Amino acid sequence: MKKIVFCLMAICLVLLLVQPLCAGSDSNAGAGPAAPSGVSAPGTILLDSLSRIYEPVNFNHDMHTSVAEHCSQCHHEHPSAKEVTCTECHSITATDFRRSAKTGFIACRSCHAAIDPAQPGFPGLKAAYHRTCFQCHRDMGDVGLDPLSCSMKCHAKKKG
Amino acid sequence: MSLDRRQFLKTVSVLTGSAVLGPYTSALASGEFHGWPDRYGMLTDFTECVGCRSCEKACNEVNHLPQPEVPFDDKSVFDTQRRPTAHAYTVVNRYENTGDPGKPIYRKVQCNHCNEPACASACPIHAYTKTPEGPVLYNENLCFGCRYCMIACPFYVPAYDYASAFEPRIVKCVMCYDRIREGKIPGCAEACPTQSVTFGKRSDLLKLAAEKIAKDPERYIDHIYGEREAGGTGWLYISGVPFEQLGFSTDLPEKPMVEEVKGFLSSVPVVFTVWPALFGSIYAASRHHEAYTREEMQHQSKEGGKEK
Amino acid sequence: MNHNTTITKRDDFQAWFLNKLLMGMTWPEYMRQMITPFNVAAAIILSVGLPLMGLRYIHGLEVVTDASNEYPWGLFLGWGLFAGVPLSATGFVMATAYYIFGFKRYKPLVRLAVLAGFLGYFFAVIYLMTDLGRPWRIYYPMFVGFGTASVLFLVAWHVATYLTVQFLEFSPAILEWLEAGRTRKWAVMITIAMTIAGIILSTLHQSALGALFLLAPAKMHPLWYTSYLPTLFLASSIYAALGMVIVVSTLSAVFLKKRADDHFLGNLNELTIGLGKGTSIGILVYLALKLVSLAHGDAWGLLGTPYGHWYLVEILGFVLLPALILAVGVKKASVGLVRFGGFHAVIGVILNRINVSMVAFNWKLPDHIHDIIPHWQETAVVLSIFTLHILVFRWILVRMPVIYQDQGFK
Ligand code: SF4
Ligand code: SF4
Repeated sequence: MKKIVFCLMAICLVLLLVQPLCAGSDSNAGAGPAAPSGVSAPGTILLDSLSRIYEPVNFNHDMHTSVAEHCSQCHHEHPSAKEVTCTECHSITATDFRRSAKTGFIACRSCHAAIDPAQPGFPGLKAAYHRTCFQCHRDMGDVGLDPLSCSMKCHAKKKG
Repeated sequence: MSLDRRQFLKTVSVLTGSAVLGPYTSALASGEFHGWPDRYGMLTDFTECVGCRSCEKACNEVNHLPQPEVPFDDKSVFDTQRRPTAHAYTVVNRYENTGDPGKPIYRKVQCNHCNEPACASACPIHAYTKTPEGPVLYNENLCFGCRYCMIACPFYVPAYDYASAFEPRIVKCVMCYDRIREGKIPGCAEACPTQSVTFGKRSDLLKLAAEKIAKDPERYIDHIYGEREAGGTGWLYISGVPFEQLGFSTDLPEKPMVEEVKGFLSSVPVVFTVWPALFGSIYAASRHHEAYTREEMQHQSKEGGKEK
Repeated sequence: MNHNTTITKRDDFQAWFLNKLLMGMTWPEYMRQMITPFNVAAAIILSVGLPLMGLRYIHGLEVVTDASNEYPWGLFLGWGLFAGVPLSATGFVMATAYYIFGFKRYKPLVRLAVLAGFLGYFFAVIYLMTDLGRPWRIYYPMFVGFGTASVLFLVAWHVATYLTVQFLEFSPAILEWLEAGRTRKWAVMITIAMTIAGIILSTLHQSALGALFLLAPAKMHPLWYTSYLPTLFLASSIYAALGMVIVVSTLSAVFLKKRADDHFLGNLNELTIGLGKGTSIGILVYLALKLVSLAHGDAWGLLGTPYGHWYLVEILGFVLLPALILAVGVKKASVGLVRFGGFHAVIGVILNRINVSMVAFNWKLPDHIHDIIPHWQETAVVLSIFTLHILVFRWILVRMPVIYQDQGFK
């Protein structure tokens, strides 16, 4: 019982605190969500763990945070975080939740590794990336119309 | 060429029909076998496929097939419906998506590695094998090129190398049998960026497909193609649009194709045993009749002679 | 001494050669009488077709066949195997009628029928080998790999065995020609056994040719695809054979009249009427089976479609009509009409086999009708093999005692 009350309070607090932050960021970065402050959200990331055929992807994180509705659209461990408890990332105190993130987000590859035929339903790293991107980029017409778009839009083909 | 005893017995009984019904029916009964439980299969989810042709490219590389005339990232190939050829185990075709015209649907085509392959029941030289692991393999060293397997395959899969003068052969997907044996997964499944081509135990894939459909009935039509078609195939498919819109045959019998000829084959030993007896006795009867008439005639002519 | 024997041997051989192969003519004489319009036409056809068949061994099958990945079989098998084999049931049907059922009056036709059958099978194998990707492995189903659940396995074995059987059945004629009386006696003794073997093998492989298509239910047009295919193929092969005996005997009587004796020519009209009767009864049996299969298949609705119309053309125009023509011919004792009916019936069987193996197969593919029209190379090769068939047939007929009786062995 105590726990629930505590959680509710925490959520209210978060909402309260996040509200002005979003409003503030509106002016400079658009309507997207922001990383918990104290953790610096990366500007661009080099996604290179798979670069065998293609050059690494230069991923503009800033831009994506500005257009995504919510972090969990990509960082899906948040809403369904059964394995990871809140306190693993946040020190949950009433006053300091906002600055409480101890680590960045969990890297995709820490769960999604090579394809495991024993778990056919579980995406490997490549599928995890692509499915995430294609949520929007398929609708945007970037993929699904021309195989060339792989190298034109996201990752240039490696030479040789 | 190792000929095991069972095979030999089968052969002898088919040829002579002598040991008749017993061994022969048991030879046929091998068709009743429903397959190794742990065999592998594939699941293609057409809702995930984006038509990037990575699978085609990977297949070409891991199987050392010749470079295609049109590069793998050229979308012009989608203007026609292609099929696997002597130079490509698999091809991806594009279909119009009536529900959402902006998102065409892509269908990867390759051998379905049937549970009871029609190609294998067609081949007079036993050049095909359904392996316990699941892939259906073809042995070029046995084939004499009658192409009956191509007639029989309900999915239009095997292709023939008509341009080769001395070593023409059937070409078809082998589900990367060698890679599976090495513990790797097939080239196409590894290359697919969205894992719309998924490798695993067929039984697991069936479960996965059913789960996906149950979880998102808006996204999928309620049918797993290959679960039962043509006796069941190793390669399964789920889709957001009805399968006939993607060029699938939807009128295949649920029985394996070989069932269609079993009735005929089982008449073989009967003919071998009954016919000699039947026609032998007819011959005897007609001989007897002939002899009888001849005697009669001689008799009559003798009597006639006397009377004169 | 030694020297002498060689000379005599050589002389012997020369005499034998002139006598047997050139039919008593000298080379120049022989060559001169060879120049006929028919032979010239044959030479032209062969000069196109044979080089093509050679080119196949440089550029692969695609030089000679129109076959593709969707259409693995074309005219070579549609015409050469599926139509050729039922038309070559002549040997089996006539030998059975004569030896087993005791229709003794058909004696003048039995050898001709056996020869037609033997050559028909022989050339069916030639067509098959032209179509095979690796014809030099033709014996593989017998010795290397055994596809016991395969209908084609059965066909391969049976056609091979039956070819041997037919050769043995025909061998008395060859041995008479070679004047090998002793061996001939042996050959004659096994006739009954060979005939019964022929019945077994023929019933099975004639029907097996139909059963081949049972394996592809989803690719065949429902009007032609029926579980009765094996039965229908067998039934039609019987009347096809009778019709074919009419055809072959007519052609021999017209074109090789000089080579035929009275035994053959004198009895032919009467026998033709008898064959006509048999053919028309055979057709009616087949037609009844065909209707049963149609009812069974429950594809009536499709009769209204273009394929349905074509189906009706087949069974009305090329099954029922020849039966009627034959029946009228028999009734009026008109040899001419019976002969016409015989040709018509044979064409009907060819049409049926082409329909099953080419028209009905893959009917759902777009552009189907366009895709089954063979290109000129394939046609040229088929014509060449057919020409060879006729030439070999004629070569034997003018030499061996087939449409004449060898006086010494009568
Ligand atoms: S899909 Fe065709 S080639 Fe592949 S196993 Fe089945 S019948 Fe054989
Ligand atoms: S083409 Fe080769 S593999 Fe296919 S059925 Fe004929 S012999 Fe067998």
